[in-house]
Amino acid sequence: MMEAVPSPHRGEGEGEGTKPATGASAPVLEVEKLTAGYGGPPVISGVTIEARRGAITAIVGPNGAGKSTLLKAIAGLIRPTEGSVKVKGADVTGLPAEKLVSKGLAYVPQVANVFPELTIRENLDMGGYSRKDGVRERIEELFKLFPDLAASSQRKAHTLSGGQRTMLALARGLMVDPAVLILDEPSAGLAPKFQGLIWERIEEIRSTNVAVLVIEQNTRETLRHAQWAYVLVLGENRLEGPGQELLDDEEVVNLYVGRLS
Amino acid sequence: MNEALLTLGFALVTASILALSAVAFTLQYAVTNVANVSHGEILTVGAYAAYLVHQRTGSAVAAAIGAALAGGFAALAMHSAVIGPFIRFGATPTIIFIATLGMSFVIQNTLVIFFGAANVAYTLDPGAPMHLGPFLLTPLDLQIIASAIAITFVLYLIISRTKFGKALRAVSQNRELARVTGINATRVAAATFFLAGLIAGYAGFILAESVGSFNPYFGFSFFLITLTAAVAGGLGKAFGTMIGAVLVGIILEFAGGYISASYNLAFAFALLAIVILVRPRGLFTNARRTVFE
Repeated sequence: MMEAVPSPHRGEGEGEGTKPATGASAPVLEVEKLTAGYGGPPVISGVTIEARRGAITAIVGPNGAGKSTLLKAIAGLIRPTEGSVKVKGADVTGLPAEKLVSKGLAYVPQVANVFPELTIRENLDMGGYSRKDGVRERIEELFKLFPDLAASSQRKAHTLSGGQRTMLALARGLMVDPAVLILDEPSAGLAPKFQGLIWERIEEIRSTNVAVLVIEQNTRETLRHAQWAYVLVLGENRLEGPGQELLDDEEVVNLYVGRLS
Repeated sequence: MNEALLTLGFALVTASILALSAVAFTLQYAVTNVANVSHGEILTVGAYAAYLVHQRTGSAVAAAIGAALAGGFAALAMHSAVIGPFIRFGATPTIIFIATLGMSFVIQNTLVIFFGAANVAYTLDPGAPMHLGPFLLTPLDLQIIASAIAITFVLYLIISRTKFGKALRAVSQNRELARVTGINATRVAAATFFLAGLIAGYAGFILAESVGSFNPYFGFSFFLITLTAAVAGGLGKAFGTMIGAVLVGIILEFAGGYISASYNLAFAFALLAIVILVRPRGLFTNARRTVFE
C-alpha cells in the first residue's frame, strides 16, 4: 500500500527515493499547496506537484478530481486563491496566461486547441507571438519533428484530422521553446493509431529536455510513459510515485485506473 | 436614362458608407463577442469632429482625419472604460450589451449638452454631377466610393498579412487559446477598437457629408441599418459584412427610390427580421464565426 501525502514516497520502495528516476536536476515547475476554483468552493485544495526537465510527469485520477482545474490554475487561466507556482525558480503565481508563456510555460488545452480559421503556418506564427525573433527558424525545426504539418502548411486548421490537429497544437505550444509543456488529455478522442503516434511525439519532446506535465483519460498508457505520477482525488493529492510502479500497484489499478482502461 | 441604373449608382454611395460602418462594427464584435450598441455614436462623434475641424481649418482632408481620429479615440475609450472591464470581470454578453446601450445614451446626451439637439447643416460642394456609364454621380460621390474601396483594401492587408491582423483573428476565434499562446487579448481588442473607430469616425464624416446635416442622434439611427448589414453578412466576419452592407445598401436605396425614403428604417428592420428568421448566422456563413474567412 502506498503512503498518503504529505510523505511523498512509497514506503517499501528501495532506490526510488530519487524523484523522478531520471533526473537529479531541480524541478523546473514547482506547484505548492495550490487552491483554486471557479468562484464557488475550491475545486482543488492544497495540491503540490513538481515537474522536471526531461521527464514526463502525469496527473491521474477519477473524473472530477480537479485535474483540468489544476492545469488551468498553473497556466494562469484561473487565479489560485492560495499556494504558489514557480517556473524555473521564479514565482509566477497569479500571473495572467499571456504573461506565463514568456516565463517558459506552454499550455495545450484539451479541445479547441488550434485556431480553426488560421492556416497551419499562421497557427505556428501565433505560437511564436511572444518570441522576439527566430519564429521562422523555429517553425522549420518543428516541421522536422512534425513532417505532416510541413506538407500542408497552408491548410486551415479546421480541415485537419483529429490527430493532425493535436500535432499542430503540440507544435504551437513548442514554438516558444518552453521549459514546461502542459498537456490536457492530448490523446482524448483520437483513434488508437494516433494515440500511439502522439505518445511517440511526446517522448521525443521529453527527450529534448522539456518538462512534460500531462493529464489523460487513458491512465494505463499514461502511467506507462510517466517517470513520475500524481494521483489526485477530490481535488487533493492522494498518492504519487514512478508511473510504472503505480501501474503495478494492485490497489491503484483497482481504485483509480480500472482494469480495462 | 434607365432609372434603375441611376438608383443603383446612388445605392453604391449608400453601400460604401454602410460597408465602412458595418465592418467597423463587426470587427468590434469579432474581438469581444459583444454587439457594441454605442457603435453609432462613434459615427456621430466623427461627424461633429469633422464639422469642428472643417470650420477651423477649411480643409476637407483635415476634417476627414479629424473625424477618423476622434472616432478612433472614442472607440478606444468605449473599450477601455466599459467593455474591456466588463469582459475581465466575466460579465455575460447580454450584460455588456445593456451597458453599451447605456453608454450610447450617455454620449448622445453629452453631445446635446455641448452642441444642442438641433440639426447642424454640413454640406460640402459636391461638384457637378457627371455621367459615368449608366450612373449619374458627383465627384463627392466618387470620392466616397473610392475611399471606401481603398480603406477596405488596406484593412484587408492589415488583417490578412500583419502580425496584429493574425492576432486579431486568433483572439476572435478563441480568446482563451490566444491568451495561453501569449497574445494579450485585451490589448489586441483595444487596438482593434481603435482601428474600427478610425473607420467608423470616417464613416460618420462621409455620412454627414452625403446627408448634409447631422445631430446627436444621427449615428444611432444609422447604427440600426448597420446592424442589419452586419447580421446579414454574418456578425464578426469582415468580408461577409461588407457584402451584406452592399446588398442592404442597394435594397434600401431601391425601396426608398420606388416606395418612399421615409420608410428606410422600416425597410431595414423588415430585412433584419427576414435575415434573422431565414439565415440567423448570416447569408454567407457556415457554422463558424470568424473574420476574413
